[in-house]
Amino acid sequence: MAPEQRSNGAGRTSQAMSERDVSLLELLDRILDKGVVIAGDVVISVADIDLIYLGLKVILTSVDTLEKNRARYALGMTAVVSPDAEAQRTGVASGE
Amino acid sequence: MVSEHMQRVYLYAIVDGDAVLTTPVTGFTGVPVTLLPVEGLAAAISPVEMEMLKDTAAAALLHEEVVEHLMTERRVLPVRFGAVFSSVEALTAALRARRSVLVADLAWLDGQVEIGVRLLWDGEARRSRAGDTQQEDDVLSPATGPGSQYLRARMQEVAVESRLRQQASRLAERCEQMLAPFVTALKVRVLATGQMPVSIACLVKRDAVAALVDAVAALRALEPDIQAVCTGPWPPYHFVSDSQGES
Repeated sequence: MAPEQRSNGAGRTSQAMSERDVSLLELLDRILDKGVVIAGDVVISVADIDLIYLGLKVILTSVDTLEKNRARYALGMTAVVSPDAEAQRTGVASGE
Repeated sequence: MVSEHMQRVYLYAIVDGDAVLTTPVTGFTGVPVTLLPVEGLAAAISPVEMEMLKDTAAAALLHEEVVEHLMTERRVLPVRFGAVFSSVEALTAALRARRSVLVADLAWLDGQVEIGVRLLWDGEARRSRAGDTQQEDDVLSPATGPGSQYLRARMQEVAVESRLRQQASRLAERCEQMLAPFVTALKVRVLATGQMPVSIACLVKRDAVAALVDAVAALRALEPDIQAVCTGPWPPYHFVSDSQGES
């Protein structure tokens, strides 16, 4: 999924970030924990931390961000922030 | 310890057939993803340097972009992020060992995609209401000493948690009933976080996606403080068989 490509106007910058946040959360929730497992013969680690563990921390942060903002999403093929939620998020999105 | 600068083989997905891709797609290291034929299947691969996987978010997005591109051309089994092999030979051997499961999954998942559904509620308000109800139901005499006060508070926390889980479970059951007519399979998680009572991965035929989205919209009417988020279509990550061959 390439959420940033789905924005179609300059006024949707913050919305695009929200879509990206949500889509990234959804993506990480899938590709770090689901999908075909073909046992690789290389153990992936970053700074001695298992990459999957690192990924889980990213997920928890994203969930927390999603919850804190309490954005209201309209329904569609991708999650889209509704205008009232966008107003609540003013000044917050860029810091998340 | 593996050198971070050594090039290895990154596996994105398993696809049906080994015909060359109609439209090239770029993978890690900036070179096109290629298909490695293995007994009627093919592995979508590219070289990778371990350094490139350090930026998890960017690497994850690239992984997904490649898989979604492959989905536009043929049947795909998405591989979990981070499958790195030391050589083409090592990957080929690993795929041969699981070939029968992969072939069965490709057949089962043909023409279907995954839609993510998450229900959100006001977790703090829910917890507060559950706590009030619990206090009303509490028939024990007031605790006096600090030990009994502590135990009473812990007991109340456990009771509130249990009450919230029951509410979320009931909500999940109603969601399953409402979505079942539109899906091939469902995977449900209950109360993954305090704000998210229900999270569902839906396997759905491509031509039924619009109907499913409409059904998700109706879920918001279940309770007044429920918000529904629907994302996709995704490759069917939740519905491939696990390492034991069970889907």
